[in-house]
This record gives sequence, C-alpha cells and structure tokens, in this order.
Amino acid sequence: MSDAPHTPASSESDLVGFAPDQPLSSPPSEGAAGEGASVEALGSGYDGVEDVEGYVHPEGAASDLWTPPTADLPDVGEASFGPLPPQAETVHGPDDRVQIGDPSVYPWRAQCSLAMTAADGSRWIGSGTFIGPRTVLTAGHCVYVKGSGVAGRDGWMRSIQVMPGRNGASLPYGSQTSSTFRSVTGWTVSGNQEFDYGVIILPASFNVGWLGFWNFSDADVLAATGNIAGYPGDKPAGTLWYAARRVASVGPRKVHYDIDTAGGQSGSGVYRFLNNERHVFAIHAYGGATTNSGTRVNGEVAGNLLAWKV
Amino acid sequence: MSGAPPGLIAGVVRDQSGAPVEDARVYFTDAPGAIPDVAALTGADGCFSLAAPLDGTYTLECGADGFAAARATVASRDGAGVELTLRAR
Repeated sequence: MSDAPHTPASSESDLVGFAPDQPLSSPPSEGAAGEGASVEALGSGYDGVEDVEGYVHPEGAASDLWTPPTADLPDVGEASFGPLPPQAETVHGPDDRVQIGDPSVYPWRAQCSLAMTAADGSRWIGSGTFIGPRTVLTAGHCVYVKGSGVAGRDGWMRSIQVMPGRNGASLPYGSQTSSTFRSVTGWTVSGNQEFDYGVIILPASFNVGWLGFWNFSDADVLAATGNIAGYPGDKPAGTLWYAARRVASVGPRKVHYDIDTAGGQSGSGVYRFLNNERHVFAIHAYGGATTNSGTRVNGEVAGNLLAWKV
Repeated sequence: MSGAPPGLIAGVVRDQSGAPVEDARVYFTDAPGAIPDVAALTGADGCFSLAAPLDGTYTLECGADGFAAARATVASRDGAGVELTLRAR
C-alpha cells in the first residue's frame, strides 16, 4: 500500500482507488424518481445560483463583481495550522440561508440528511450529496472519527442512516442505513483536514439522481459561485437550507468561501453550474473565521471518487 | 468546571424543569480555529461531548424543536460539566 495521503481507506477490505488513466469528472443525472420534477438555475448573470423562492443572492451578478487576481492568492486554509489560528464562526454577518420548501424534487433530492452513529454509540448529524445511485459524497469526518478525545469513539462510524430529500419528519424516498465507507489515509491515519473527504456506499440504489463532480482549474474555481444545500443543526430538525456565494480563495487541496453554514452541514457538496449542469468542486467540512471551507475536488480526489462511485 | 481531558467539551442539556433533553443538536458557533461543521445529538441522559482540539474559548449552541436555542461560552481547559438549559418557545 502506498504511503501517499490520498491512498484509499475502507471500512471493508476491498480497497479500491485512483487509476491515473481515468477521466477526472463525472456527469450529473436527475434520476428516475418523479421525472419532470426539477428546478432550473438562475443562470443569467449569476454564474448559476438556484432559483429558490425568497432567496436573494447577496452579491448580485458575478460578472459585475469578479476581478481576475493580479497576484497569487494565499490559501487561507494555511492559517488554520498557524500559531494563532483565527476564530471560527460559520454564519458571517447576515444569514443568507433560505429553506427549501420541497426537497423531493431535483436537485434537492440529491442532497441527503445523515444520522451517524459512532463506534461508542454517540450520535451525530451531517449532510451528503449523491454522486451516483449508491454513492453519497461527504466529509471524511462524517464517515471516520479522528481525534475525538473520547475512548472508543475514534474510527469508522458504526452506521449512517441516509435520508435523501428529507423535509422534517417527511422522508419522501425513505432511508437506507450503511456501514460501508471510503476515505483516504490522509484523513484516517493523519487526520489532516486537507484530506477530509469520504463516501458512503449504500446497499441499494436510490433513484433520486446525483450531481456531477469535476476537478476544475484554479481559475475556474476562483471564478465560481459556490452553491451549498444542507441540513444544519440550528434550524428545525431535518430541514434543507440553501445559500450561495463566490469562492474567496483556492489552494491545492482546500477551497474557502463565505457561504453561511452551521453544524450539521459537513459533507454537503459545494457545486457550481456549467452549461446548466451542477458539478461539485469541493466538499464542505469546516467553519472558519471569515470564510468556511471544504476539501477541494482536485485530480486525486476526483480519481478516487470515480473509482468509488457505484 | 474541571476534570475533562484537554480538548473535550462535555455537558448536559436540560429543559426548564431540569429533565434531560434527548436528541438536542449541539454544535460550535465560535472556536479558536477551523472546526468540523457537524452537530452532536444528545443521548437519553441529555449528555454530549465534543472535541475541542485547540486551546481557547469555544461558544456552543444547542437547539431542539419547540425550544429557543441556548448558548454557552467555555474555555477548552474547563470543558467538563457544561449545563445548557432549553426554554420552550
């Protein structure tokens, strides 16, 4: 086994991983459930944000605001590892999030509420995004607990209940529980937040569709408006909330953005529009001082996701 | 409040009558550095524990349907025995 931090780790013994000759993107699908029920993007002038009733994009048209960088932008994520890390606050200024009224339609049904049970029996909530009929993309710390400080808690989650399109107590597509997970040794062994990503493999398919993913270039990520929908703990239980903002900075393994989130939204795919299709370019994982951050879908991540996708 | 291992903030969520609240969502809203954006669910005894990997002051919030959110600010070195009381809306 390689010592490289993107070396796949699995809750089972069937390790699979990146083969370098594979393509590095995967297309989305609206799935078969409720065909015809989907939401169009507000594409014109916004670099693609969702058309959600009551949602006011706080930045106006991206084309009015985006100025190409004239110098290398720092990776804000490096500040997290310095001697004086900034304070974390996941909602910055006015809370831009709006509730999704009907999560049973695409693309919302491709987002899911996660109820995780750790090895010690403690229970947690998180979020995930379908990238295949049986594959849910999420944060590494949603599938593998690292550095908890509690005896018996660290390690693979005992189980995760996956609830696509959840709306409070309503589960329009039911739920499945899985104990089959994938991550990489950069997270499971080293606990490095730059490698904080994983997937849940479900026992059976959900016909809810999925988002694509893509290892976009630095320039493409910097020019993007990031969209996040997830299940935050500060809102009524099991409700889906959405917000979007421009990307603030990008590094080789992290993307920073000022999209409002709260505890429970770890694992949501951060996506952008390309030709009116939704493509994940980061996995939301952390709250930060002035920006929140996610693990970037770079070439190694995309390669592993392609190998894991079923 | 003392006795917790360094890097752990633990406590209990109760309602106004003093009864433990199960399935309350507990999460950080402020921390000395980047923090995982997850939330813990309290057990039947109302208890929770969250990793606090960096020295410093953390603000945690808890919420449950039908209650107004409650907050506490805690130093990581005094992270044991946090009491959060939820009040009905």
